[in-house]
Amino acid sequence: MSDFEDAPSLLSRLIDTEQTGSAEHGVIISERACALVQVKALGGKRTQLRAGLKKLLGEVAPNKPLHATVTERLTIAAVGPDEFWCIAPGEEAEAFIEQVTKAVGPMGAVFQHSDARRVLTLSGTAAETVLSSGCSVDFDASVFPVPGGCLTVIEMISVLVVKRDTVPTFDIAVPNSYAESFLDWLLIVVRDYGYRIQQA
Amino acid sequence: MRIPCPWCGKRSRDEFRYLGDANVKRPAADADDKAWVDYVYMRDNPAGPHRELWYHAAGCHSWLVVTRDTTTHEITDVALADAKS
Amino acid sequence: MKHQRYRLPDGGRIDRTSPVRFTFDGKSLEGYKGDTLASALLANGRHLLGRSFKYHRRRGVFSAGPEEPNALVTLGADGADEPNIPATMVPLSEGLVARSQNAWPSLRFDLLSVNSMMKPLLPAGFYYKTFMWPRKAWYALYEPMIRRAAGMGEIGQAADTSRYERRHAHCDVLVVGAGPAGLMAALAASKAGARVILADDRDTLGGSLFTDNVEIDNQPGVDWATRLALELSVTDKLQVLRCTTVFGQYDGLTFGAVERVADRGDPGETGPRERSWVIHAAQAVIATGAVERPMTFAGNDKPGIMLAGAARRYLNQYGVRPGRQVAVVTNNDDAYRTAIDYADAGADVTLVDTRAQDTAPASALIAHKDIRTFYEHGVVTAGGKRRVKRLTVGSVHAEEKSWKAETIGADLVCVSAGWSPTNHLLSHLGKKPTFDPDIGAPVSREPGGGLHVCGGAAGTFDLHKLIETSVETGRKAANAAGRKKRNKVNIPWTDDPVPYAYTPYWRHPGKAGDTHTSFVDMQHDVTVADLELAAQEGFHRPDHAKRYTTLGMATDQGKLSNVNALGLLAEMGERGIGDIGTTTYRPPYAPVALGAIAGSIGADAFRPTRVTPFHRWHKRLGAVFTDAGLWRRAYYYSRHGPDFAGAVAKEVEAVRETVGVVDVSTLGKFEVRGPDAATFLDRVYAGPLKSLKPGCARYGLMLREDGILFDDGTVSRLADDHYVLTTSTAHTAAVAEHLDHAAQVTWPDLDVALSNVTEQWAQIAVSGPKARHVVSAIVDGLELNHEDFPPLTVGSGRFGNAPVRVFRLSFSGELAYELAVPARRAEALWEAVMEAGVNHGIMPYGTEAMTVLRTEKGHIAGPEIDGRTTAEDLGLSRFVSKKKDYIGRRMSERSALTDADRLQLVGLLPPGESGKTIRAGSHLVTDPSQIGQSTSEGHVTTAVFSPTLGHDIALGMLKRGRDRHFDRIYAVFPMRNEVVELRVRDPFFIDPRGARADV
Repeated sequence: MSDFEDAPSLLSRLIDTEQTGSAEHGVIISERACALVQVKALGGKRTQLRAGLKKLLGEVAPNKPLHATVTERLTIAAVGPDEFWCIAPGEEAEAFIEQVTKAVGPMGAVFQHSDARRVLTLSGTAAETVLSSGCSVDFDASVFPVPGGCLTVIEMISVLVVKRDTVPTFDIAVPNSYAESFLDWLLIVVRDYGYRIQQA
Repeated sequence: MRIPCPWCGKRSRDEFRYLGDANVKRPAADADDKAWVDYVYMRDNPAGPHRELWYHAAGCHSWLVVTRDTTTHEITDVALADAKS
Repeated sequence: MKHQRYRLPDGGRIDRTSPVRFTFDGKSLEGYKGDTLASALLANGRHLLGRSFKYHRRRGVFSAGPEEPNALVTLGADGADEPNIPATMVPLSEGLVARSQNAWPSLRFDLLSVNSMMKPLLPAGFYYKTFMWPRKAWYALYEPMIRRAAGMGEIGQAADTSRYERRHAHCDVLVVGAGPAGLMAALAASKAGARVILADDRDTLGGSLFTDNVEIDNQPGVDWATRLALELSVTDKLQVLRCTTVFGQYDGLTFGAVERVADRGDPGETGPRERSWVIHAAQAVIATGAVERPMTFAGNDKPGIMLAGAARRYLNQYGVRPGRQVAVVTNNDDAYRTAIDYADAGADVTLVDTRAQDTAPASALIAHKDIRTFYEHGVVTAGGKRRVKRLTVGSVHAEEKSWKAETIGADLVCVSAGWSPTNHLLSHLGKKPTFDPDIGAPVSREPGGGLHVCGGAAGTFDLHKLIETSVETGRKAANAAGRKKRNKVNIPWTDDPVPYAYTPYWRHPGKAGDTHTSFVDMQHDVTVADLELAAQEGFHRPDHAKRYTTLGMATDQGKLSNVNALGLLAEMGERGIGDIGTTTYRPPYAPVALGAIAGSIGADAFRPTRVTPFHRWHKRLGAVFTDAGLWRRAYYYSRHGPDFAGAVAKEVEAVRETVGVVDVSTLGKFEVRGPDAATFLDRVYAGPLKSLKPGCARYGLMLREDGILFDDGTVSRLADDHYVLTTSTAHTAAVAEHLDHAAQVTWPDLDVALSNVTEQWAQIAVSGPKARHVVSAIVDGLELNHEDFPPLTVGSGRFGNAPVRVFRLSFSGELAYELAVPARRAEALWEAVMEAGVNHGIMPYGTEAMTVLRTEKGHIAGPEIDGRTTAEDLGLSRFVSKKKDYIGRRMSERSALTDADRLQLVGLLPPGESGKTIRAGSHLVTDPSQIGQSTSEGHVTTAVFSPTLGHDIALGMLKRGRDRHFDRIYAVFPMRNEVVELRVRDPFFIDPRGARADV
């Protein structure tokens, strides 16, 4: 039963080199282990909360709707009024929430979601088109900030979407229970555009 | 139908849940029966602009006060129900 | 086979170097790349293409567009066929297989055309009148007979193997229609900086420029259009969708469209057959052009009669001349183009104009042509058996008794009763167009609400004006969307010799022709006689006449018939056409394949499913799964017994005697934090929560504000300002909404933060006398003995390197602990529990065993919390505080909810503990011979076989149930004629004092 020691990667059921068409004009699909922490401001202390985050995480939390701060290591997305999601590399889950909790102090409530979601990354020229097959959000650069993030639904599944760059690259945090279903859907949709699976 | 969420921008109607009249206020615990019946059951059904509560269930989880013309579905105003935000 | 004998040696926009083979009714034929199925069939001299809906009359191609009422064909074969496709909209492709419809046994010899002779017996409304009685005969005789005779193509019985796709798109300006108006509007909007989508239902962009010989910028209009279309297709932020029908306008400027990807035949295209689009536009320009109206006269449906514009399109776009002896019948100038083009193509042309020559400006253009003319004449009858051969025409001055019939020989009759703006999309949301007498049709010029209209759709038919106004319209739309760049758009120079003038004419005033063969709606075989009958019987409003006659209700949605019907009804009622109103257009504008709407998601995965973090373990252990909402939950494990009942009994036994483990991860879990968390929860739950100490848990009820029970679950206080709640699986989303409403709307002053953490925690319940042995072995950092960790305690420990939350809660009635670990540790936790329990005979159990266990204990669940019951009804008043305000308190005190006559929770069991089976859903009655709504005193909510007790037990809701313990009652299930005698008792079948969990 040793195969149950670690929760398997969502993509592990797929072959490493699996692809159809040309991923060059399509998308590359990969998965990252992430630590996800939800932060909600308390007592309307949004400004102090942002200052706290900046002090401890070294990054400025965005102040405008749907805007995000994205670095190699860290993502902070302003996905709701008084609500941020912070994403860091997966191995740091417990340390990360401690760090965020400290940063926020009494200005905010912190909730651990590191195990609640799987983060798939969709990158490539067709990424936006692929998403548009199941998602009604307008991710066009004229409307949606880059980097930016939001909560929405893709094919009836609630997701957190972060648009990292103009490639474009999207991180999609899918609820654990829906992850297999989401991947089933994604693999149906991407075959018309060309894709490659990239194992971690 | 698209509802312009003050935070998330224009979103499809299927991201939202509808509740109804936004003008009702919860009475005090000891208010009379009429006040409670009005709060729980009695609703106006205007043809025209209507302030109503919508919940952005699949987005930012905000309750919104949406002013919608019930005859045309035209939305003229949207605000967060939680005024302190 | 005579090879395309109606194809002219040159001309047209087809690729004569690329022949295309196709099959029609089993015959192999040839056309060219660029043909439609209709143009290729016409080129091959196939004028007879189908039989009509009701009378089985011969019909041929009548139009060259989506308005086609007659040339409907079935495409494909081998059961995957698709019926009722207008041949006019099918691009010809190699190997295409098509067949005609509604003829039996064959198209040429159709036995059911006897219907045609019975016409006077099959008037409008005959369904309502004739087949009323006897009722039985309707199902046995009339309906099958009518269905055989009437109707259209038959749908294939095989599964559709085509692929479809769905997509959302967003733009500043959606332009519908890519004729000269749409092209210019899109150009102008794009130049102003707008994100534009330009959609057209055809493969070739240019619209009427393929039909009309005009010049733009010193080149043929069609070349100009092709060049502009090419430019637009490579313009940044402008998406051109060809073969795309925008079929509906919905609220908030959302449009539905379907793109027939395969129809384009693009080389290398591997995409789906069709793609459905949901287009979210900030503004929309409707440039859908106009549709020509047929002329109404006896025999106006015969093969060889078609719209004048269509005839022109077949000649100019496809190089097909469907007849040599051509009659053009008109009340407007546009049809003069057809007369001129056919005369220039060597046909022998006669022109019949209902107007006087001096009111027909275009008459000057044909003066020097070899065209025979009849001014102030209209057609009375068309003659010819297999196809049209001759027309009988007469003076339109009927009051002059002296009018005499003249006969004209014609094998192609081109008719035009004027042009009607295609304004379906403008009126889909209920906005009615107004009737414009100048063009004889309803038009919406100022639709408002983000909609703009230009070109033929606005009733603008002058080419120069059309281009000017379309540029203006495109710019206006872009500006309204906030795009205001001032790039110049050049207005091209145009040369269009034919002006547009029109005089109303609905039918020959002499009324000499047979009204039973004067068709208004050809697809539904509705005639002038039918409309007369409708008007005579009082159905003279268009929407009434429509329902009475079925006019406009066929798949073409009355594109050709609606306006003519308005004119005729107005004439019959001697009222102004503008006064009688119009019919309502509803989406879709044209039929849409259901597959396209479903999109890429096949039947198997139409909705997502949810699995718990333990899913792989369940599968490995041979779980049989059940659907709970979207969740797949382990129902029971087939390895535990020979069958369902046996397996469930084993699982229950394990919990009662040793230890069992069940996956409860689907329960909703919420965390509440913040300084006001305690106050908030005290207002949300019916029970007192302020007194709950950190480290303690409590069973809690949430009520709706109307006093009815909403959900039950547990509240655990982890720290002063930190709580975790559980909710029932099914109510998780509703509870989230309810809590957010309380926090944001009802009490925004409370400082709390909520989070749905259902997905974060994998949760199991370990239950049974040996539960403590198992849990103690795997949890570090917590003393779990009875003294340190009594019932309703909560604590945080470690499971390996992960946190674990331990709750001393029991749903089963046994000593039990619930363990929650971060979801990624789920499988390790399960493995550890199984290992720790192996010596105690641990057994996983599923949701059915859980139901049995809780029913034995008298614990309520979903079937009891059914949206009608109160806490009091369910015997839970001890969980309801009398001392505080909370959601639902006030209304729960009203008399209706405290009435002694209400249904109350009881236990039910067969007398003598017999082996009788009780069925959930049965009604409870005192006298089983009196079964009815008025005698029902309640119902069975949950019924299970109790392995512990050895017989069936049930929970039910019974009127005054708590006062009726030991009474006899009957559970009746009339649909299966079941009656079971039962005894009423308390619902606690085992261990009523709860001693088993308290050890």
